[in-house]
Amino acid sequence: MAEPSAGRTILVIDDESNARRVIKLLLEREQFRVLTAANGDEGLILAKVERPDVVLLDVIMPKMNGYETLRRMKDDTDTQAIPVIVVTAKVTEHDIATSYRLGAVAHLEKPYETGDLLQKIQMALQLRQPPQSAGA
Amino acid sequence: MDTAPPLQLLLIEDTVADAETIRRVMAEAKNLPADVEWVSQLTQGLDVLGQRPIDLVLTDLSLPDARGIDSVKRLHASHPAVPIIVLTASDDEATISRALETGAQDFIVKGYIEVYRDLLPRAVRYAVERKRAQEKEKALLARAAASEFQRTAELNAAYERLKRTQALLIQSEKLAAVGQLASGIAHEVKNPLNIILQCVNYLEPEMADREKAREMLEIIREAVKSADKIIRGLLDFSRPMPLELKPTPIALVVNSALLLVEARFAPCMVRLTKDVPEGLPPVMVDAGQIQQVLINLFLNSLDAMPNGGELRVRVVLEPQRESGDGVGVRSTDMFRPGQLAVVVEVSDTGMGIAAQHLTNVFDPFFTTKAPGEGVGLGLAITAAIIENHRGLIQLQSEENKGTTVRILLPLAGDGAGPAGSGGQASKGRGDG
Repeated sequence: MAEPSAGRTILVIDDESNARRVIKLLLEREQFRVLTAANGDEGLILAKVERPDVVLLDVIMPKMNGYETLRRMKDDTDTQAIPVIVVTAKVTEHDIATSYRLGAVAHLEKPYETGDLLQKIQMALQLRQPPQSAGA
Repeated sequence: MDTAPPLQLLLIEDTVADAETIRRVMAEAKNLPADVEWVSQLTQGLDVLGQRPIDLVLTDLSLPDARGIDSVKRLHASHPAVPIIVLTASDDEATISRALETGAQDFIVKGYIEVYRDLLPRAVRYAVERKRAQEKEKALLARAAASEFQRTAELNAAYERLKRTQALLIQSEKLAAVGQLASGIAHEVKNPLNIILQCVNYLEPEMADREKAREMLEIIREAVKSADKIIRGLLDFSRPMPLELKPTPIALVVNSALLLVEARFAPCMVRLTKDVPEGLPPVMVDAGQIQQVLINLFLNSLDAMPNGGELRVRVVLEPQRESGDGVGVRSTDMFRPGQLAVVVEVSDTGMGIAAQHLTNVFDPFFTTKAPGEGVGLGLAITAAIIENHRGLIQLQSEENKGTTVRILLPLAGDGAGPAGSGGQASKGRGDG
């Protein structure tokens, strides 16, 4: 079997540049194509244009936070099918419930082991619906 | 007054003629019935006073066994409540005023008694009434003083209660402050921790053939995890803990908590003594949270006995006695006097808590443990949980002897609810 991650695209939305850099290096080593966005607006555009296979979404960000970004992704028919993993320092039951209520496929608490992240990404990839053939 | 019994008068007079005059005048005073007992010496008079109640003493100033003012002094000293009228031969002012100063109520010049027939009876009546009024006033004053004393005691008790309530308030304000601080910094700390951890994860495969470097990375990972644990502890602490209150047999909670830590006792040379009766009335608790509290207490005790010792776990059903510490009739009191509480008592024979630390043990971040061994939130969280249960936590400790922690929990039937969920605490309880 081919590497399941090969050729798959992951969009990382996080306001912290070092966080983006290290996660990019890690995921690229796993044969993913990695896109990064420093805020929600940028992330929404990239998601719409690039149609990544999975989005890793931080929650606490200036201006548009992760939950608002997630809501807009799910409101947009172009992006609503993309599985989103919320990756955050927010840890309360309420936060976790919010993630799932807004349509995330997983909620991962920072700091996490890379193994856990990869496992969630694989799960998300399996949930990924095959892309629509024709333009909407 | 008509039905009043005759006044009991004692006459101390060595001159027979004078004595007879006085007895005759008193006998003739129809509106003042009086029995007059006559003696001729002071010592006899004192004997009579010692034997039966006397309403008034009439005494001569020159007696065979007492000279002048001395007789008044001795009479007054031995029976201060009995009024004295001095009988004098002349109206010598110096003598009279000294007699009055010494304790006499009044004086009568003997020569006038027979001339002014109502002089003596009137003096007797006034003296008796004045003395009675004085005694009454004295009693009133004493009662006032007593009630003032009681008021002062009540005020002091109220002040003590206020001080304790204030301490509790400061405590919960501290907790609230910690909560805000915790959720504020959690994000700021967890993000960099995550970056460090991801760097470690990235580097590990790169260092596959460099054992020392991998060891370093492992150390960094552990440091990150322990920092994260502290942050998690803070967040758990600050998070409002929703209570799932259910009537629960306390023995179940105690035993399950013991089960989880029991394995650690033997290696630490700690002997467990357990007195946990089954069949006590159920308590209204969140079993998970109370279990957490108990485990925390057990582990504290274990830490306090590095050279082994005894851990005693006892459960009793106990009516609560009024105290300034949460048992009383105020709305802030958790238990009413006489209300039954299930008490879980955890005592150890460990190193105890130094007296100067006793007031701090429930403070968040207070710890005497070495850095890395404890953050100092255990008892603060414990206290918060118990408070949410509308229970009480009591701590007694003596250095090098041991520590006893008592957890008081309300019975399921007492309508207990989480703190702040209603006004049940201010309402009367136990009336069905």
